[in-house]
Amino acid sequence: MKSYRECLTFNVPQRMDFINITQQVKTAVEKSGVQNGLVLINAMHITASVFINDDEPGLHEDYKRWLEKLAPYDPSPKTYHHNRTGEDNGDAHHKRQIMGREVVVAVTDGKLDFGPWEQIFYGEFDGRRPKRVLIKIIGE
Amino acid sequence: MHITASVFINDDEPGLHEDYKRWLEKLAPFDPSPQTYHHNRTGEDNGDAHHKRQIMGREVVVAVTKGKLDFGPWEQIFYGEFDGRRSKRVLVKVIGE
Repeated sequence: MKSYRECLTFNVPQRMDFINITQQVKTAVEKSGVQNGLVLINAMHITASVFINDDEPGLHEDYKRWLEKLAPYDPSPKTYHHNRTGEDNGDAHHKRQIMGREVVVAVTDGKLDFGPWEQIFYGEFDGRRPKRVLIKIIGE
Repeated sequence: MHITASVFINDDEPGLHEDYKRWLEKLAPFDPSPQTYHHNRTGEDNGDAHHKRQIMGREVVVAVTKGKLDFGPWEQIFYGEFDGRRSKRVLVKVIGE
């Protein structure tokens, strides 16, 4: 069995934004030499997500508004107990749960085995600092 | 292995866990009434728990590198129970070499 590991680092200038990382994952799969296997792509930080959906800016704007409604940014320790620790990112831990931590994608004949519109995104909910994504590929 | 429970990765911080509980209760409140949740027409009272589990997720997949969980600085794995007071199981499956 082959295995391959790579980390990507993102320093997103906004608190919340989405970055298409599909090409970086494709490149990692090529480098791994794996023809048939699985690729795991996960946020290594707990206020960020990796998810698969449409590369459509309107949808991303919709996600941002919807997440802000479900878990509004509010640094007050009265709104989020978590902010009693001195942090202000209680909202970001909630947003990440909705969007998920990781995706697992099949690798078939050396390529990501995707449906017609699947694209992989890094979702940042507490940006303005360097954060990492792990790509781990196993197979043969 | 049960559909009213979650396994998720986040912070081991009691304040955050309290926040999650309140938030989940707001998004999918416990209500045994079959008018609130059609699922409760079956005689069960856990319609809310099936919703809470969808928000928090079913499973996590973690890379193993050099024999260790390949984690970022704060990642911790949790079992999330939304309809407890009975025995329930979590499956751990490890593959590799």
